[in-house]
Amino acid sequence: MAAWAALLPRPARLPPYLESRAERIQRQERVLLMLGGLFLILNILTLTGVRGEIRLLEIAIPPVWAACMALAHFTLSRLRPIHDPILLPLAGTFAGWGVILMDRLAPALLGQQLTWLVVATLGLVSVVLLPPDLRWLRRFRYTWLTLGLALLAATLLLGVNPLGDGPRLWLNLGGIYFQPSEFLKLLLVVYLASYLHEKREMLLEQTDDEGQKTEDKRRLASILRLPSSAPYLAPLLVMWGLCVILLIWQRDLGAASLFFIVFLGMLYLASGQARYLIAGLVLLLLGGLLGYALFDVVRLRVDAWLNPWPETRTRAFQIVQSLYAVAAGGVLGRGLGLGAPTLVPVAHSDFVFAALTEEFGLAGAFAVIAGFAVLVVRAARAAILAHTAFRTLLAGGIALVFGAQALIIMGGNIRLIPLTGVTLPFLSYGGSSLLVSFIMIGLLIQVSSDAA
Amino acid sequence: MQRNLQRLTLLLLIGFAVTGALLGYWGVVRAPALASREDNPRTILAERRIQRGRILDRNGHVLAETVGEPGAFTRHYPYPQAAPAIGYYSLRYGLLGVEAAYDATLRGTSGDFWRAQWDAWLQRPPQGRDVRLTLDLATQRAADAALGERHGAVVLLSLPDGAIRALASHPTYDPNRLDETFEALRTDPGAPLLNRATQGLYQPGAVLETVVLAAALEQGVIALDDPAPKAIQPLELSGGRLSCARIPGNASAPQGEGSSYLAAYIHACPSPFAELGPRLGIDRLRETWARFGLDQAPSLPIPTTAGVVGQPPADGEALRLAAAGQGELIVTPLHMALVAATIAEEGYRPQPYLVEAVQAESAEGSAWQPAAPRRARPVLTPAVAQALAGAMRRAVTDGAAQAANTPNGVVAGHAGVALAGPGRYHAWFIGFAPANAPRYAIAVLIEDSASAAQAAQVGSKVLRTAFD
Repeated sequence: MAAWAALLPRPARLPPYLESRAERIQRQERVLLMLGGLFLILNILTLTGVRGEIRLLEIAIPPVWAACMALAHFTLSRLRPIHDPILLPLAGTFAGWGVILMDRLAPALLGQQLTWLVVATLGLVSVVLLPPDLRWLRRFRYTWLTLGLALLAATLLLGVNPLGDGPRLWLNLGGIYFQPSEFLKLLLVVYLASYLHEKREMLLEQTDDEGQKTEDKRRLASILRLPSSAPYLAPLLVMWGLCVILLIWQRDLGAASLFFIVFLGMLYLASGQARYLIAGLVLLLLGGLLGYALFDVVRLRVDAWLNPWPETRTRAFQIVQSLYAVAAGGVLGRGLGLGAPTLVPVAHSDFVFAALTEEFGLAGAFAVIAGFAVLVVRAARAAILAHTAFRTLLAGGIALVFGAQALIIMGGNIRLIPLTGVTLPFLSYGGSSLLVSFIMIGLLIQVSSDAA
Repeated sequence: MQRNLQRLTLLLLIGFAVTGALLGYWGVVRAPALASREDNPRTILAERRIQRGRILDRNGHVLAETVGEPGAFTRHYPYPQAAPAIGYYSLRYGLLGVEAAYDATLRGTSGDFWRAQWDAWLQRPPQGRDVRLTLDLATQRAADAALGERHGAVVLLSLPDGAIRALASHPTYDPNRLDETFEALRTDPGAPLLNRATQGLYQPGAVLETVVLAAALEQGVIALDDPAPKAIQPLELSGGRLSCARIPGNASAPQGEGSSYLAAYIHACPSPFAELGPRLGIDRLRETWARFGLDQAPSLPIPTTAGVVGQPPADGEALRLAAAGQGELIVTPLHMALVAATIAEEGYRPQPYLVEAVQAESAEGSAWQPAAPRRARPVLTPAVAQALAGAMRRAVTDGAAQAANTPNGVVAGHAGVALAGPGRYHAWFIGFAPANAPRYAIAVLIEDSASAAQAAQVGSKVLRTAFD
């Protein structure tokens, strides 16, 4: 740590009145991390006990996790002494839980997921090392946009599926499979935040009163409402249309609907126009109907959602198995390692929530839901306390991504909405997802340091 | 933007709340319904984690046991031919017989309440308890060997308590391979899944003479020495004729008019007993069937069937047929074994049973809880029963059941045939041994055989093994 400290840039000197607050934040974060670590150790002990054998990689989980968290915690304490102390422990505990679920559900993937945890932690730390004002993020928005589109195009042309059949949503980078749509999601949020912020700044130049947010909103809204707002909206719509068309082309329904919801949410966030939300939802519904008519995969998912019971062994197999897993869990769960969650197809990725519910019960599932709710609320809080509109839009967009993505996949697991394949942030198997989630947490921590 | 953000956050939180509520619906409200759906693979998995108790014969020989590793347990039957007595355990086709009737014991779920709760909390599958049958593996083997390839059934009861020592039904099935063979077994014309011993309903024919004679003697309608009318005259039936099961060159065979009822009985001549029908009357006959329990299903853990009594015959011809065992009455071999046991037990009909004891607790060497004994019911006066027992002894020494005679000469019995359909005969033997102090009663049925001697021979073989 001392060597690491020498490498770190000198922390800004805190004004004296903030020193005690910084200490409190550091202490809170440390206690929360320890609680998370305790939870993970108990789970490892349970799993080892149930299996009756000691696995080297399994035992490596707590130390690796602790090292990752210590690094992040130390870096944060040095560079951003004032930040939200809940974000890191929450993300860290979820990610650790995800690693344990890999150990339980797909032990062959444990090593990979553990490595990705390290990579993701480094990603988070890198974000914190970058300048806190995030101007670089805002400035190069067309770079991000181009990068995103290039990624998408690359996936379209070179995409593979590591399992063989199925949607080709991955890029093979020398043996490492990487899912561009995860990064695209982040790039979309950054681009939208930057774009909407700029339009807002253009608006602010015409008015003398910078401070009145309600005024801003009204003006922005009026611009968006007028036909003359079309030139401003057009790039947004083009961006959205491109994403959605490409994603539907690739049959990645989950990512397509997530992008669209995030796009709508951020538009609403910037404009305050509920009609965008309503119009957007109508569009989503129309898109769904169109998809139902045109694509087998959509029809299958919707039919299985509406009435799975006649086809429990064929078309609705996945969702019914997921419900069986939830039912088997009951209130307190079967206990880690004692259920049969591997009966659910792809339990470690798309159905990790159902698998978790079987072994941790409603208690564990409610903890996950509550965790995401807390994450959304803390992200929203950081957004509200942010210094600039860009940072507000960025944090708000990230809150939307986490919230909407968790809802889409959890709701899909329990037949609230048709099933679409997105990851449950932090918990599902997937390196790209974990890395991007941690980068987003890093960005949130950056924004949350505005509260100083 | 603050307001917009708060609204969006609220929207997401509502989404989380709805997710939580639906989760509670599936995980609590609908959980029992989902758990019991037959396409839920967890049911089978849970089942494969249970170490089911063993089923043992009376000497501790294993008849059914659970082998393999937890999570992949399978049921193994070391002596598959005992299937009619044991039943089967199949994840696909369910349970039958003792496996079904004693399922709770074998699974171990009917033990101590708090322990069950503790096990459930620890996800520990219950440990099954053993069940010990009255069956005797050596006797059972003898019964199966004696029947061989022939279709038929053997029931051997121990006396005086009515414990079932052997229960054979041929053809039968291999419960170890039930899942693979079930569809073929179900459609097999030989009906291997039917338990002929307790569920096969057969025309009793000449073997019903014991019952009819008992009624006639008790009512004083005739005496054994009275001359029997039409003694050797064959009984003409639609589809065939029944005559005495006489042994050529036998001096004591009925020679014509003037032969006694005793001579007619030991040679299983049908006509004199048919003539008793109108003399006894329908009410008496029906009351006799009921007294012997022919119209009831004996209570056993394996499926049993009541004899079919049918509608009261309207005229003399129908009464004659009924008394000859060719009427509407059809019975199972178990019913006839109980008739033999009633005669052997001086008129008391024992209640058959198959389970001797169950393990009190699911631990090795745990105490056994014996089955509660059930009292025999009086059916005949001892005098009538003794007279019939003597007649049955004569049937073995001098009559149609001679094939049942053993070197040490202790078997008593009655053998005869029944007309089962146009040109189709079944051979019967009922008997007990030793004649003077009976310890076993037996019924043998052989399908599609007109040879009473063949049935008697099978009976003799099984009885002899029981003594060894």
